[in-house]
Amino acid sequence: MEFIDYYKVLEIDKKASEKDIKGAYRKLARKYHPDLNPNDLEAEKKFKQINEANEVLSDPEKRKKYDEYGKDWQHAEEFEKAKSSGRQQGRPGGYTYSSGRAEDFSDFFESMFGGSSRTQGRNVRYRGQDYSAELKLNLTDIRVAHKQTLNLNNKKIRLTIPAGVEDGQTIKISGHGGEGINGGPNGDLYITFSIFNNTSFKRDGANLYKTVNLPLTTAVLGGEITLDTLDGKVKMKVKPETQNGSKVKLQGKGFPKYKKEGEFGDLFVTYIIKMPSKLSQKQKELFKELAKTNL
Amino acid sequence: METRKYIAISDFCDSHRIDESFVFALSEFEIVQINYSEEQPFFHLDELPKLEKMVRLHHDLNINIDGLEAIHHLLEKIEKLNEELTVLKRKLNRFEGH
Repeated sequence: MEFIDYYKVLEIDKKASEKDIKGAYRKLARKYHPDLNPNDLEAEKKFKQINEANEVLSDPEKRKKYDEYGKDWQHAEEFEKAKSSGRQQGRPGGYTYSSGRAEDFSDFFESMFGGSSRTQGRNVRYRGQDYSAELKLNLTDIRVAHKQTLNLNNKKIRLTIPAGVEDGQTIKISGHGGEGINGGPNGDLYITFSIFNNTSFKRDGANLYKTVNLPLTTAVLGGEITLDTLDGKVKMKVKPETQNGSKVKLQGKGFPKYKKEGEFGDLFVTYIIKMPSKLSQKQKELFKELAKTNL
Repeated sequence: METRKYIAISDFCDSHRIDESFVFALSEFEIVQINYSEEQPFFHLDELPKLEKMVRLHHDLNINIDGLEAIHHLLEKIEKLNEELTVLKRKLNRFEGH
């Protein structure tokens, strides 16, 4: 257990007056209050330290004990035993914190003072803080509903991610945010998805887009090509005299629609006709023959 | 168990030991939205986190209504900027990745 210098925490001198303590506390509390620093765990930690320091230093009894035994906190218990009078309940006047909890205090504090007097004060129930997290997934991961376990503040959260979630989409997981205070409800967890496209398709909602190079002869005469889709390879018939840039829709071969089980978008294929290069002599002659037909 | 979607202002103020005028003042500054039924004023459950945040700031930091309004707008602005930052970071990652 580490000794905590409460004067250092509040950035004040050991000779600080009650007014100085109150002023320093207010200044730092305004700076680090969790509501003014959303999703900032460092600020929350600092706020708890400030809160704890104020709890001790703004109470003359506790401050006296801290000043006497602070560095030798191990003797504090003996000191307590030696005292015949009971522990003073609460403190008169003073500036009280509404969002503090006994469990927010350090082991050092607990060993010296055995808990917070604040819990006997205003028993207001607060909803816990909302948390935000980002989850990175590949596009292929979200083709089907995806189960994932998140580790948040040492708590495991099992999550089923619906197929077809969008890049940048945020979902709310009720009750998995910060713990409520004084029996208040827990906050919520907001997860924003960052979807990395690890495929050759372009995605727009549930529709997918792909460009396919087509040999000139297949475009002119028609034929069959094999196309990669997210479900595997499919064979496609190409119509004769297919034009450059023409599009074909493969119904239901797109991406799953979000929260619409069994429904899929479409796959749009754009044909780019590949002009031949490095023609052989024979091929050139054949083209010359074609040219004679005013093609 | 059915969840209540609306909370009477009087219930909220009783449980938080605050005066109803505080909530009405927040409503005048358009920080929270109050609805009125024939029986009593109430607010939607979605407004609760915002309202509780305002009560905490008011009690913990002695911030008055004018200050709360300024904080409310600045927090909204921060949230919006953070969202923009997330989108831009993602775009940058995509750009750098290819």
